[in-house]
Amino acid sequence: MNPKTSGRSFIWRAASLALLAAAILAVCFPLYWLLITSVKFRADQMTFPPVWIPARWTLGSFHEAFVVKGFGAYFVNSLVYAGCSTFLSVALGSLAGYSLARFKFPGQLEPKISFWILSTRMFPPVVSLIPLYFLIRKINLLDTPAALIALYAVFNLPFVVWMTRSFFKEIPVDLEEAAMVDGLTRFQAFGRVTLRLAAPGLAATAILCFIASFNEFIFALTLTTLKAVTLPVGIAGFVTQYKVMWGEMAAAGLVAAVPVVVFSLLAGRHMVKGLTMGAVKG
Amino acid sequence: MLVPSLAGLFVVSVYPTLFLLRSCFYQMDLTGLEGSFVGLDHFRRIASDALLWKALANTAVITAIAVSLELVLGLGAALAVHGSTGSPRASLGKTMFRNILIMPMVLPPIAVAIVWRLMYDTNYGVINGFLSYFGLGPVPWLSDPALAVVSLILTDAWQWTPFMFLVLLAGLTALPEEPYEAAMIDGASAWQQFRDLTLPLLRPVILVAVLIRMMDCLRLFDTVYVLTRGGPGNATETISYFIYRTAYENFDLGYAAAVSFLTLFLTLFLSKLFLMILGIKERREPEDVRP
Repeated sequence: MNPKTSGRSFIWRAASLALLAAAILAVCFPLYWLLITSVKFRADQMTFPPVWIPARWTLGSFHEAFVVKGFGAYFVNSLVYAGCSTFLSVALGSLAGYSLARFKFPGQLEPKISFWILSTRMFPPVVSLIPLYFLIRKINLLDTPAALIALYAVFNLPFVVWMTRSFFKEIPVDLEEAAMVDGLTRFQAFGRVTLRLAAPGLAATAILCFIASFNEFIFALTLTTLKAVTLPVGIAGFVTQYKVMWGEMAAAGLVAAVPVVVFSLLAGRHMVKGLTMGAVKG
Repeated sequence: MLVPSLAGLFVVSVYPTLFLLRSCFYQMDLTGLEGSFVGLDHFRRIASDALLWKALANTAVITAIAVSLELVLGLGAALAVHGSTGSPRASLGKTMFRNILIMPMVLPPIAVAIVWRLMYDTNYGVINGFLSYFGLGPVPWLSDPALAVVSLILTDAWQWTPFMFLVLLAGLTALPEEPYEAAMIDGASAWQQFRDLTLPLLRPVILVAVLIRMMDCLRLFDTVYVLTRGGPGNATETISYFIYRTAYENFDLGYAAAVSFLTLFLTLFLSKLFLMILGIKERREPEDVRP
C-alpha cells in the first residue's frame, strides 16, 4: 500500500476514478468519431443531429481515397521515407553515441559536443525551411525521395545520439573489455556485446524516429510537389480541395494513424524517456 | 565515427543560421538565389509589421493558455493515477491507461487536425450536434476569430495533455517516500502534502515539461494549416504559419528569412533555459567511473 494514499477516503478514490474515466472518454471519443466517419455512408455523414452509431457500414470511403484519389501511393511513400531515414539515423547516430560514451576526449570536449548535438534539436524546423529549400533546389533534389530521406535522417540524429549515448553509458565497459581479452576486436565487441545489450533501447529509439519522420509535414509540404508527396501532405491538400468529402478524409486520417499507433504500443514504456529526451526516466 | 553525424547536423543547423544571417540584408524571391542588398530594410519592416506582431502575440497567447491547461489537466490525471496504484490489477490498468493516452501524441498532427475539423464543423459537426440536444448553438467553432483560437487550443490540449501526464507521472513515481511518511506521522492533510511536498519536489520535472511544450508551440503549424489556415483573417496565424505564408504564398523569401532569424533568436533563448536545467541535472549524476 502506498503511504501517500492510505489515509484517503473512499470518496477520494471514486473521484480519481471518475476523473480517469472522463480522461479516457475524452481521448477515445475523437478517435471513435474518426473511425465511424470513415465507415459511414455519405448520407449518414451529413445529418443533423449526427448519427452516433451507424446502422450500416461501408468501405467505400477507403476505396475512394486510396484507390481512386491515389492516397495508396502517398502512404507507400511515407512508409518508405520513414523506414529509410530511420535506418540511416540509427546507424549513424549510434556510432556517434558510442564514441561519445566510450572514448576519451581532451578536456571538456565530450559534454560540449553532446550538448551542441542536443541543442541542434531545439532548432525550430520552420527556421531552417528557407535555407534548406534553397540548398536542396541547388543540388536539384526538389520533389525527390532522397531529399526527404536525408533530411529526416539528420533531423532525428540528435535524438538518436543523445539516447544511445545514455544507453551505452549504462552498459559497463568491463563487459566489452572482457570480450576483447577473449580475442574480439573493439568493433566486434561493440557489435556482439554492447549493441546486443542495448537492443531494446535502440529499437524504441528507432520507433520514435519512424514516428517523427512519418508524421513530418512542413518540409514535405514545401519540398515536394507531385512525385514525392507524403501521406500528411496528400491529406492536407485533399482537405483544402474537397471540403465536404468527410468519409475520404476520415479514411485517410485513420490509415495514417495505424502505423504510428502500432509502433508506439510496441515501444511502450520507452516512449516517455524518448519523448522527453531522457530528461525523465520512463 | 562522430564525423558523419556532426557533418549532417552542421548542414541543418549552422548552414541555415549563416544563410539566414546573410539573407537578413538581402531581397530574395523564389526564382533567384542572388538577391540585391537592402541593408536594414527587413528589420524596419519587422518593427512596423502589424501582422507579424499579431502572429507573435497569437503564438504567445496560444502557448500560454494551452500549456497551462495541459499542465493543470495533466497534473490532475497524474495525481489520480498515482494515488490509485498499489495492487497488481491497478498497475495493469495503469499500463492500459498509458497506452491509450499515448495515442493522441503519436498520431500525425495532420490526422489530429482532420479529426477535430470533422468535429468542429458548424453545420454537421458532432460537437454542435451534441450541444443542440441542450438547445445550444450552432457555434461557429472555426469561423469566429476568438472561437477559432479556442478551438486550436483545445485541439493542442487534446493532443499534448497526455505528454504532460506521462512526464509528471514518471516524476511522481520517482519521488522519495520518506518525506510523505514523516508528513503522515505529523498529521499533514492531503492538501498540505500536495502543496508543501509534492509541488516543490516535482518542480524540476514540471519545468522541463513546460519548457518542452513551449518550444513545441513555437512550431505550431500542422493543425493551423488544416483547421484554420491562420484565419479567419489573421486570428489564428502563428509565427510558423506567418513564415510559411510569407515565403511560399507571398514569395517574399528575404523577409521571411529575416523573420526566421528572429524566431531562431527566441528559440535559442528558450533552449538555453532548457539546457541550463538539464545541465544541472547532468552535473548531479555520479562521477564517471571509466578507467
